[in-house]
Amino acid sequence: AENQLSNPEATPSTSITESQNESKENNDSVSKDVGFKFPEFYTCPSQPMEPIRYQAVQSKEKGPIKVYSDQAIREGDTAHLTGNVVVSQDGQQLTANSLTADNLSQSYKAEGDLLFTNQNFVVGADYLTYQAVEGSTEISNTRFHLYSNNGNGSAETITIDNNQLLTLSNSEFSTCPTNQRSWAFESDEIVIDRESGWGKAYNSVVKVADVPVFWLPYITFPIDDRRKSGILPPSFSNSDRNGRDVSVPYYFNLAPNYDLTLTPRYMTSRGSMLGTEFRYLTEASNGELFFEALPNDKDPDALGDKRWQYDVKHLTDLGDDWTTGVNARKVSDDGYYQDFGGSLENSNQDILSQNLYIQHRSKDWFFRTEYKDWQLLNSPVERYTIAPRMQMTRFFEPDENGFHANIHTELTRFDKDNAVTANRYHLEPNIGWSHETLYSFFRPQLKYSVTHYQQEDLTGNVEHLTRTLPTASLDTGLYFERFIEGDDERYTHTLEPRLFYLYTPYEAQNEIGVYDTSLPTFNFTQLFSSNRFSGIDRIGDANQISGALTSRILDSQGREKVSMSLGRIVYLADRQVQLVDTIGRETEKQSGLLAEVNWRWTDSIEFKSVIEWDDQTNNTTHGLVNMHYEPEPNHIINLGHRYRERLDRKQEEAELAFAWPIKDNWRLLGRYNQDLIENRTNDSFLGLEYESCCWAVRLVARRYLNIQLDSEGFILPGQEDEHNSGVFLQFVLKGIGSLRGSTTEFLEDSIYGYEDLLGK
Amino acid sequence: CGFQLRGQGAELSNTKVWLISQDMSAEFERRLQQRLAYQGAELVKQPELSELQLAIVNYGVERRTVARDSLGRAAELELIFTLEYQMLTPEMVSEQEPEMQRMTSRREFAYERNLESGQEREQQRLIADMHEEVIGRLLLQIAGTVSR
Amino acid sequence: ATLEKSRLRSDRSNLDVQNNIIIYRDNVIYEHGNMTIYADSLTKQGENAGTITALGSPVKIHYVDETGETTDIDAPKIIYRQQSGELSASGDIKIVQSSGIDKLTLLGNQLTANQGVTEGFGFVLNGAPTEFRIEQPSQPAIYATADQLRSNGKDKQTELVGNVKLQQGDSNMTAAFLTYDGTSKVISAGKSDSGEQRVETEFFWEQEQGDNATSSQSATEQQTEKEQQQ
Repeated sequence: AENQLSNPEATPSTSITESQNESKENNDSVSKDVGFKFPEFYTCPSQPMEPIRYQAVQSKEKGPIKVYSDQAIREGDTAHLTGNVVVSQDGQQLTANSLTADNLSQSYKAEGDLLFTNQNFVVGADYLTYQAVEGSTEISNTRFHLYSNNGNGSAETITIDNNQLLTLSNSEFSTCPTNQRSWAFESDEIVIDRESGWGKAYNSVVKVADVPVFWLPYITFPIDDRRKSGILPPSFSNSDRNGRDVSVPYYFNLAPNYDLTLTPRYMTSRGSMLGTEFRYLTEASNGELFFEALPNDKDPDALGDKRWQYDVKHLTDLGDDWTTGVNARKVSDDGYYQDFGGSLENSNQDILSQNLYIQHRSKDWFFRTEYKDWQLLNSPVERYTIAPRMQMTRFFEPDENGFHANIHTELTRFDKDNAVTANRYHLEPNIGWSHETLYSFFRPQLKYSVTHYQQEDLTGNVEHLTRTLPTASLDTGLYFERFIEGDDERYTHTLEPRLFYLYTPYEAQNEIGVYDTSLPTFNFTQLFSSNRFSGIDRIGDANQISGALTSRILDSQGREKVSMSLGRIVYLADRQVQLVDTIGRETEKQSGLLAEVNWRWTDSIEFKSVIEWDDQTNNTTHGLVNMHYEPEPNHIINLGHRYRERLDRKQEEAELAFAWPIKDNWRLLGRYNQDLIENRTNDSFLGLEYESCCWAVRLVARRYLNIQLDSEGFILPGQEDEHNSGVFLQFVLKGIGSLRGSTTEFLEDSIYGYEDLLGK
Repeated sequence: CGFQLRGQGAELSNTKVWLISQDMSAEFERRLQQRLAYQGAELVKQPELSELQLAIVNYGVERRTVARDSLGRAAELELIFTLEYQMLTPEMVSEQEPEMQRMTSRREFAYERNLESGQEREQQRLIADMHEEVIGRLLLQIAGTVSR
Repeated sequence: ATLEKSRLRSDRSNLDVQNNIIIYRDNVIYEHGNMTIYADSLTKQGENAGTITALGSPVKIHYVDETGETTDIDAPKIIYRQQSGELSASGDIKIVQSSGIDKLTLLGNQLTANQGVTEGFGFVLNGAPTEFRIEQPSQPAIYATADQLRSNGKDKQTELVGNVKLQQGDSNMTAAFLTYDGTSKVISAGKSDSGEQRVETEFFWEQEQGDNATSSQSATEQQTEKEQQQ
C-alpha cells in the first residue's frame, strides 16, 4: 500500500497565474445524485401532469462546458471520462455512461443510456456528438418529452445547429401517452427554427388509432404563441339553404398593433364570398373594421344578388376627456342573416344601427354630438334618423348642505323620407336635495322641462310648438333591521319601506309627434321613474304615489343573500297624456301589484322570480322564474319560465340549458327552448363532448327556428319547415390544433355562463 | 317583531374610502361617488389613509333574447349588468391577488321591434336602474365590511 | 543497490572548534552514488559523520538514473543521511526531471526523498500548494497544482494528491488525486475515496457565435477560474 504522506490541512490555494481572473459563482454545484429519469407518461393522468422538470444547473449562458465524472483519462488532446458522466452547458444538462472529448477538434461524443435535457424538453438516446465550432449537436435514436404540453415521441436523429435550428429525422410525435397512442404525427423530417418561431414538417402522416388518416407532404406550424400569419382552422358545414359551405380564414400578422384576417368562403348554392376583418390599435385609437361581400348570389330567390355586410367599431381618444367613435353595422338586404347568419341569435338579428359621435365627459360637463340611423330588417317600419343630436349637461355635485343639480339641454333633428320631420330643442334644469341618515332618506326633486318643436310636414309648412312642464317628486324611505344568529354567521334582516310621490301637471301633447319616445314595460324600474313614458316627446301628467316594501337578508359582510320586494302605484288622478290620441284617458286607481324575489344564498346559485298581478282582473299579466346554477366552472344548469300578456298576444316560453360533465372525460351540453303558446321548439340542441388528455371531439345536433321573412316581415311562401337543423362534428388534436369558431360563439350564447374550453 | 331603525349595525358615515376605476367620470362611477358622499363616506386619494379600498375592475351589460314572437323574432329581451370589483380593508391586504367579486342584476322588457321610436331610452333607463341597485348593494357591503 | 564510498572536494575548509566539526566552504562538490551535491558550505556530523548538511544559494543536487534520465533539485538547505540514502530539504524547492523529450518542473516548500531504496529517485514534495508543469514539444504545456506531489522513482509515475487542479490548452480538470505516467504520457484522475469529490473537467471551447459574438472570451486569451475554496 502506498505510504500516504498526507499533508494534514489543505492550505488555501493562492491564485496560480496572474492572467485575468473571473470569480465563479459558488452555486454551480451540480446535483450529485444523477437520479433524473425519463418522465413516465403511460396513461392519461387524472389531473394535468406536470413532469418533474430537471432543473439544469444554472450554468452561465455562455460559460465553459463542465463535465463531472468518476474517472478521467487524458491522453494528449483527448480526454476519456467515465462513470456517471454529467455534462452541463448553456443551461442544458447531459448525463451518460461515458464521454470522449477531443480538444483539438473541440468536440465530444457521449454514450450509454444518455439523457439530454434543457428548460423545454428531455431526450433519451444512445449516443450524442457535439461540435463546438459550429455549436451543433447530433443525438441518435432518441425519444423525447416536451414539458409544456406533454408532447412526446421518438426520432431517429435530432440535430441542433448553434442552438437555433432543431431537426428531427423520421420522427413520431403525439401528446398522447405512450400506452394510449390515440393519434400520432409521423414525418420524415421536422425542422424547428426557434428564432422565427416556425416549425416545418416534410412528408408527414397523421395516424388516428394507428390508421393513417392524413398525408401531408409539407406543412408549417407555429411553435410559440407569437402572432404569425397563417391559415386558421377552416370550417365546413352543409345546409339546405347554402349547400356545402367551406370557409378557410387566413390571418396576416401585419404588425404588432394591427392585423388582417381574410376569409374566403364558398357555398355551392350561392357562390364565393370574401370576408375581411382589419383590427388596429394605436396610441389614441383602436378599432375593428369588418366587411363581407358576395358579389353575385346564384340563389334565385335571394333578396338581391349583391350581398354584403359591414360592421365598424372605432374609438379615438382626443385627450382632455374628449373621445370620438363610430359604431355602425349594416347589411345589403333583409334576408342576409337568414342566409348567412348561422345561429338563432344571428338569424333573428333584426335591428342594426349606424352611430357616429364625438363626446366630452368630465366631472362637471357632458357634451355629445352624434348622428344615428337604423336599419330594421323584415319590418315595414322605418325609424327616424337622428341627424344630428347635440347634448350638453352641466352637473353640480352635491354641496355640503345636500343640494345637487344639473342642467340638461338637447337639440335633435329627426329626419325621415316622406314623413313629418322635426327639430326639437329641449332644456331641462333639475335640482334636488338629499338628506340621508342611517335609518332614512328624504329626497325632494324639482324638474322643469322646456321643449320647442319645429315640425315640418310633407307639404313643407313648419309648425312651431312649445311645451313647458314642471315635475316635482319626493322619494323617501326608512331602513329597519334586526339580526338573526345563523349557524356560524350573524345575518342582518332588513325591512325597507319606500314612498315616491310624483306630480306633473297636464298639458296637451297630442300635436307633438312621437320621435324617440315609447311606453316602457311596467316593472319596478318604472315604479320610481319621474315620467311614465321613456323619451322626451311625452311627459306624462301624474299625481301618484308609488309604494314599495323591500326586505333583504345580508350576510356578515353586508352581501345581499336574498331580497324580496312588493310594490305598486296608487294613482290620485287619471292620466290623460297618451302616445297616440286613439288611447283614451286611463282611469284605473292603482297599477298592478309587482313582486320580485332574488335568491343568491351561495355564489353558485342565482334565482330570480317576478310577478305582476292585476287585482282588478285578478290575473297575472307578467310572470318570470329564472335560475342559474353553477357550482363549479362549466357545471351549469339554467332553468327559466316566462309569461307575459302583450296587447295582441300572450307570450309564454320555458327553457332548460345545461353543460355538465358526466363521467371523467365526457361532458353533455344542451338546450331546450319551447314556445308554449305556439307549441313549438324555438331552439334545441344536444352536444356530447369527449376530451382525453391529448384529443377532443364534439358532436352537436341542432334544430332552431329560422322562418324566412320578406322585407316587409311577412312569411315567405313555400316554406315547408320553419326550422333549420344541422349536425356539427368537431375534432381537435390537442397541442397542434385549436377549436375556436362559430360553434364556440353559439354555445356560449345559448348557455349563459358557459365558456368553451374544449381542446385547450 | 324585533325590527328597529338601523342604528348600531352597519354605518358608513365618515368612512374613508379609496375608489379606483378606469373612468371616474362615467355614469356608474359618478353615481357611486355621489351616493358614497350622501352616506357620509369620504373619498381619499391616498390608499394609506383609507379604511376601505374599492377597485371597480370591470362592468358591462349583456343583452339576451329570452322570448320570441310567433314568427320566431325576438319579443322579450333581458339586460344583464355584471360588475367585477375588488374590496379590501387594510387588514385584508396580502400579497396574493385580492379576491375578484361579482355582482349581477337583471332587467327584462317587452321588445317592440316595429316601434318607430325604438326603445333606446327605455334600455338606458333600465341600465341606470341596475346601476342604482348594484351601487345600493355595494354600499351595504362596504358598511358591513367596515363595521365588522 | 549497495552504498559506494562518497567523495568530497571544496576550495577551503576550517574546523568549528566549538562543535568539533569540519566545515567545508566555497565550491563544495559532494558525490555519492549517482548523486552529486554542489553547495556553498557543507558539514559532516553524526554517527560516523554520515549526516551531511549543505547550504547554498541554492544548493544544487544532480541525479542521473540508469536510463540516463536526470533529476536536478535546487534548495536553500538540504540534509542527506549517507547511511540510509535519505534526503530532506525545505524552503523554495525546485525539482526539474527530464523524461525523454518531456521536461517536468516541480515547485514546493518541503521535500523528503530517497535515492537508495529503488533504482529511481523517489520523493514526496509538499507545498502551499505544490506546482507541477510539463513541457511537451507537440502538446500544449500541462500545468497543475496540488497539496502534495509524489513519485516512487521506479515506474516514472508522478502522483498529485489533494485539491488537484490541472490545466492544459483550453480545458481544466480538478480532482481528489491524479497520476501522470511519464512513459505513456497519460494523465488519469479519479473520484475521492468517499466519492464526495468527483472529477470535474471544463472545456473552454469557443462556439462559433456567428453574428451575435457576445462572449468576451476568445480562444487565444487564457482564462482560469479562481477556485472558490470549499
